[in-house]
Amino acid sequence: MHRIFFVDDSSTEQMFFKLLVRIKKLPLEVETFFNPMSALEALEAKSKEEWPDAIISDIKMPLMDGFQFADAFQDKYFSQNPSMLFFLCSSSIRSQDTERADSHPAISCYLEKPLNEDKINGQIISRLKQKTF
Amino acid sequence: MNRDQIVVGIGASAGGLEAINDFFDNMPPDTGMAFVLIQHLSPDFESLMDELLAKHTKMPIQVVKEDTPVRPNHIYLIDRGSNIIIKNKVLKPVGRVDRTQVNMPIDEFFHSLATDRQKYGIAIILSGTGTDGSRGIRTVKENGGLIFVQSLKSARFDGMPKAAIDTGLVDNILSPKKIVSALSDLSTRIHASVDPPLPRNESSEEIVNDILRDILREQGFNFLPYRKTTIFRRIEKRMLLAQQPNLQQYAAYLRKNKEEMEILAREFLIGVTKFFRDPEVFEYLKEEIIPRIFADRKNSESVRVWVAGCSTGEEAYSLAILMEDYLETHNLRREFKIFASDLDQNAIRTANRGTFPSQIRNDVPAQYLSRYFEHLDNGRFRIVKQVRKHIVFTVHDVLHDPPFINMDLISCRNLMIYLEPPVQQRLLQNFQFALVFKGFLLLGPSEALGQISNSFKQVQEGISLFKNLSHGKASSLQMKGGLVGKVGSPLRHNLPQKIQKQQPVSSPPTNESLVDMLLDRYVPTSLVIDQELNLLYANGDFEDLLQFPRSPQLFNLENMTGNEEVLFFKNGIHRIKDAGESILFKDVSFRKKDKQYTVDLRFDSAHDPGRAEPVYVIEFLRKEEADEKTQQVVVADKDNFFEDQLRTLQIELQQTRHERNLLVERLETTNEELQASNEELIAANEEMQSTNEELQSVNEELYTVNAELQAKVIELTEINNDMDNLFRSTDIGTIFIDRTLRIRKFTPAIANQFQLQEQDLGRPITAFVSLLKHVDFVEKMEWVMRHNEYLEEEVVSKDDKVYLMRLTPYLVDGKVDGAVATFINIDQMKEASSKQKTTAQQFKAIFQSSDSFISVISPDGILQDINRAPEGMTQQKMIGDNFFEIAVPKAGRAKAQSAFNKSLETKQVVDFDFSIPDPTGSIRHYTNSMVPILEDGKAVRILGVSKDITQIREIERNIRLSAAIFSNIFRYANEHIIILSTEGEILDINFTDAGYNKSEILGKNITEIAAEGGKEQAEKELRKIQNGSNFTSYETTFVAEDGTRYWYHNIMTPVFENNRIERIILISRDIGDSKRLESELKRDNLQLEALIEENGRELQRKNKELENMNGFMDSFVHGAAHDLRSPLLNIQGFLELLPEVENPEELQSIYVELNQAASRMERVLGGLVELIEFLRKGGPKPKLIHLKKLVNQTIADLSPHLIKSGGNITKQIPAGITINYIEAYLHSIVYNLVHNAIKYRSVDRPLEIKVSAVETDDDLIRFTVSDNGIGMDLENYGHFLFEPFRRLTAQRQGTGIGLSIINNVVSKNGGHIEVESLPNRGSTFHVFLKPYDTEK
Repeated sequence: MHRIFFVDDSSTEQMFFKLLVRIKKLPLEVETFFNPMSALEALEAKSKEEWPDAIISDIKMPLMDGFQFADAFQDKYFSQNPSMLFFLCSSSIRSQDTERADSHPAISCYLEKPLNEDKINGQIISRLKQKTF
Repeated sequence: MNRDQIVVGIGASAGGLEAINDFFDNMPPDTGMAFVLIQHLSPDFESLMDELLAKHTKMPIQVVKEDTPVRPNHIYLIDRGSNIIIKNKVLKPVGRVDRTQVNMPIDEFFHSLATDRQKYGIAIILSGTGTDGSRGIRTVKENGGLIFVQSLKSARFDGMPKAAIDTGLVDNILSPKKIVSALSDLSTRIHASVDPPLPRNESSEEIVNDILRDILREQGFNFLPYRKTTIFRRIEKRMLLAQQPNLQQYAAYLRKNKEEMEILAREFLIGVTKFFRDPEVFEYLKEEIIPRIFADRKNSESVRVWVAGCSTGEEAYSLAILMEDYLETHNLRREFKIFASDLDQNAIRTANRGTFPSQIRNDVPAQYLSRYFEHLDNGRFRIVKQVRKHIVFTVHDVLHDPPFINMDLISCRNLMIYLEPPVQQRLLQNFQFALVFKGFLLLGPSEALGQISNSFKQVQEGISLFKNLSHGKASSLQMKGGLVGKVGSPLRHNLPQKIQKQQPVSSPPTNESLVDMLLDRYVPTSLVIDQELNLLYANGDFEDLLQFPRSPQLFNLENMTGNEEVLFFKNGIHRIKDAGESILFKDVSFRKKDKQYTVDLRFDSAHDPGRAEPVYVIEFLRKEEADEKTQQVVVADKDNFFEDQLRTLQIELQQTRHERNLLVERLETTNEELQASNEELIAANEEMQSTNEELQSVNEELYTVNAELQAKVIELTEINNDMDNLFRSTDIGTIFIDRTLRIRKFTPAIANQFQLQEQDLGRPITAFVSLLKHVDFVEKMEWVMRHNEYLEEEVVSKDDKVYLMRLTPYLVDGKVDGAVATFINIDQMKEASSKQKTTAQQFKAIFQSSDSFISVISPDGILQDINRAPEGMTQQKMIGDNFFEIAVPKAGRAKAQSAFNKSLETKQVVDFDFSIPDPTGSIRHYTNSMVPILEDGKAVRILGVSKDITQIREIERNIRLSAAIFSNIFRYANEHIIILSTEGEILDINFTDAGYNKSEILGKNITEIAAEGGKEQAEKELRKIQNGSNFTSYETTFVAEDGTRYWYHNIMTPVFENNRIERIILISRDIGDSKRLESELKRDNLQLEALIEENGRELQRKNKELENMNGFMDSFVHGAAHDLRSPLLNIQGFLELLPEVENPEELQSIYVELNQAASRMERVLGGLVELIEFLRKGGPKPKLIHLKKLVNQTIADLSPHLIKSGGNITKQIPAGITINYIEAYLHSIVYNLVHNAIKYRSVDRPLEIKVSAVETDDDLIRFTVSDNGIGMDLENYGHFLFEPFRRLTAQRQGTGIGLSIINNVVSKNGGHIEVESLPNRGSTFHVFLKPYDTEK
């Protein structure tokens, strides 16, 4: 089981992701957050051992978007634990966003919505496994 | 184990320096261990060990001269003339024994090291002769410390290592380098030794048993019966030291390494013993047991004691002392014998010596120590012969060798604890057998009797002392497979070992009893004896025929039968030897206990394959058993036979008796003589030994000293080389002469004074002529030697060089033993000194000719010199007096004094002035300086310089007056006056009008500020003046900073000083009014140009606007796409999952989500339509709008929302405000702002909205909407407030389009928006509207 933080301001997206994980029996243990701030607070409160294996975040969110979240994550956590993976996802792919994600040291991959079993297996779980061995 | 606890004692002596260097070269400086180096140092010789050693280690080295706490990573050295002990981790120097005795500093330190540091004390013995250290390591061993010894091969002298190794206590024998690695390895591993003990399981026990079998085979010691726990513990310790990680490897290592096997075997043997161990036991023995055993024995018999497992003999000696003491104090003449046995030959050897270290003082009560020990010169004690003679030490294995018997007391303490229980039982049975009836058995405090306890009774509560209550000489229990019958068992013991071993150990006991029965029934009562009548074998019941002695050694028919009966046996054997056939004696009568038995005896000879001599079988036949087959029958006619025999025997006996008496007498004499000479020899031997020890010690000291001297020699050689090199390289000519004026040594540079060659050494200096002018060198040398004084003078060589010749006596121990002459070329010095002289003269000239007063003052204010005296004084009178009193007028003294002090203190020149009235009444002024003269950074003198400046002051005053006059003219003149330098630079001006800034203009050249056209003229006029013209006049014009043009008429004139032009004065008059019109025309031109430029800027602004629009469109399109796609993707995703969802509740919630996604999409589309509408409306024309009316209308549109929110709105819009604006835009602005205020209201309080508008100063209209809603965090998120599709809050549904539109519309027309907001307080939006131009 890999522990995942799923950050999206839409309850629909959250519900969808959890449903997807459950129905497709994906080996993920999901904790959801409505915005990056509460996800960062949760990281702060947890000990290093309890940190998730990966974070999946939406880009377009009010107050703090996915890239700002990635910056904050890199400053505070990626430097301490570079094995924690960070994924961005969005419903629309803009080329400048892709470039930005590729050049960001903390971001593992940039995924296009809708998320489905293949994408999660191919992009997220395969990376998590690599990390484990 | 904490490494910092470890103190390593190193004993080294002759040849030790090399080993020590080797040791410390390899020892890292940070092991945490402390090292104490003990050597044999001569008390009369200063040891250089610390210097020598410092070259081989980085650790700090300290010679212990006072109490010194031991610190890790330090090396401590013994001080000459004292020894060291350690107590409570503090090293203390202690006095050594006086010179007549042998000093053993290593032993002494090791004893204290072991006592103080216990297992943290490590002893190392390196090269050296003698035996020092070998006693100290015993204490180290007993306290659990480790012992390392330098291997004999690597040691220069192997005396000390060998003595240590001989004790058998050494843990490791290695080269110094390997000792270092073993030590550092050990210190890192040592704590690990306790955690994993050897596993105790079948396989490990098997390996251990293999090892024990190997030892039995190779070394002859059988440890198989020993307790395995002990064996394991000892093996663990050896594994640690041998650095073998596991048991298998250690076993393999053992097989390859004989030495290790010996060490291991010795490890098992190690017995720690001491005098009077457990004093209460000995007290009880002394008071109760010893008197009793002496009482139990007949006076004629000697008391027998056996100390089994005696180790180095202390216990045996203790017992002997007690017994001897008992006999002495009770004045008894009794004999006793102590058998002391041990398996370990080394231990027995030590015990045999009977000498013990001085430490036994602590164990042996004082009265015994003084009575039964001799104090030897080397501090050791030796047991007296009187005690020693009672003890027999022997190597003996209690488990395998037959026991000593007939003992009154057996002491076997702390041996059984090492043995397995079954073996213990067997041993105890042997002891029981060996004891007499009512004899005592003494065991160790934790040892018990087990099964055999029935035969014993504990004598005293708390002491493991037992009394033998069993009569029987034992029991068949003990001797399995032994001979049959009641007396069978003891007999077996007297049989040779070989036969014993052939006994079928495994024959089942049932067979035995069967054989017993058969023998009983079918074999007649019979004996087997040898020629000496020793009983070899018996069968049947002899109770009524023979007597049985206590000891099996005494099983001889002579002891077992009466005098008469024994003759039958002797006779029988005699005859059968002659006849070789069976012989029968009839009617032989035996008497026992007043009863008489008559039997027939049949003698047969037989052959035992085990022995060379034949044995004899005697059958005891009752009458009816007589065998007819016997061929030769002798009837024992008792009377005749006896008489014959008796007579012969009596005669024989008498003769023999006589001879014996003679022999005994002679023997006694001889014996006495022998004993006396033996004692002498022993005494001589002891003396020799101690003398030898002394010699060894002295010898060692000599070696130590020699080693140090050799190191010193090397140093001296180096110094010698240095000297040689110095001689060769110096250019100071030097020559050494001995007392007889012969040349001892010289440097090559002496060639300037004497022409000497190498072979001239030893020749008298008188044989050489010096190259010096006018000097009698030899005479002066002799003078120097005679007076023991040095002499220095300048001499000139024949080539006119000047040398400083210095002649010094050459001193050896304060006495003149020659002279040294040095010649230093002082040409340069001469030159320097003449230069100095010149300088001094120059100074003097200045000093004397100066018109100032110059005084030289000492730091305490005394005038040392002055260049001239003031009027009415003379220099002579003044010098030596206080400067301030004699040379300074009263009015100036205070100032002078303080300047003087300040100069002294700061070492800087201090200036001061004073004025005084002169005799004529006019005031005179003086300027003065105090000048410090520094030497080595200190002010050693002060120069006081004083100058009369009265005249200068007068001139200054006149100048000031002139200046003031000029200044007034300059300031108030109507004309512009400009003062220029010769080059035309503006130095001053007297005006500030006409737009001139004085500070800007100063420093510029007049030609620079002259306007175009005027520049050339100014230059021309300037040149005229520079070329000598006294006056020029011309017209000029220029433009000031504010653009005003001025016209002037100018006059230029030079100012001379000493016929040179110093300044040029320019005087200008304004003549400009008529000329100004022209320049105004020019300004109009400029304005035109500016207009054109403005147009260009407008174009750029437009461009920028378009760019902004483009950016806006980009983010707009993306935002719209995103917001439109999201709900679509949601729907798509859910639909994909839908077929797999089975739970109806989940289905329900998915439908809700789908529904919401659809409506969200609709809302976004709605917003989009609104926006597109807006953009489309981009075209309409602005018109004049009445603001209040528009606001009212718009708010009315929103009233359904407003009512629903329950909010209140207040409006403050002046009725008169109108604005030229596009109506749709304005409507949208008001609508969106008010709508936002409603949308983002706080649930905590009723909504209050305020709408207001004012006209601002810069012709804008400020429209303000403020609310008390949830507000925004502008600090963090303000920057994307106006981006389309951005929402700043997650709390409300919104499209994020409204503010973006407003901003776009307002800024498009050059207006802007300002926002104030605080989270959870409310927001205020100020929209600054710029009216559209009416012309457009």
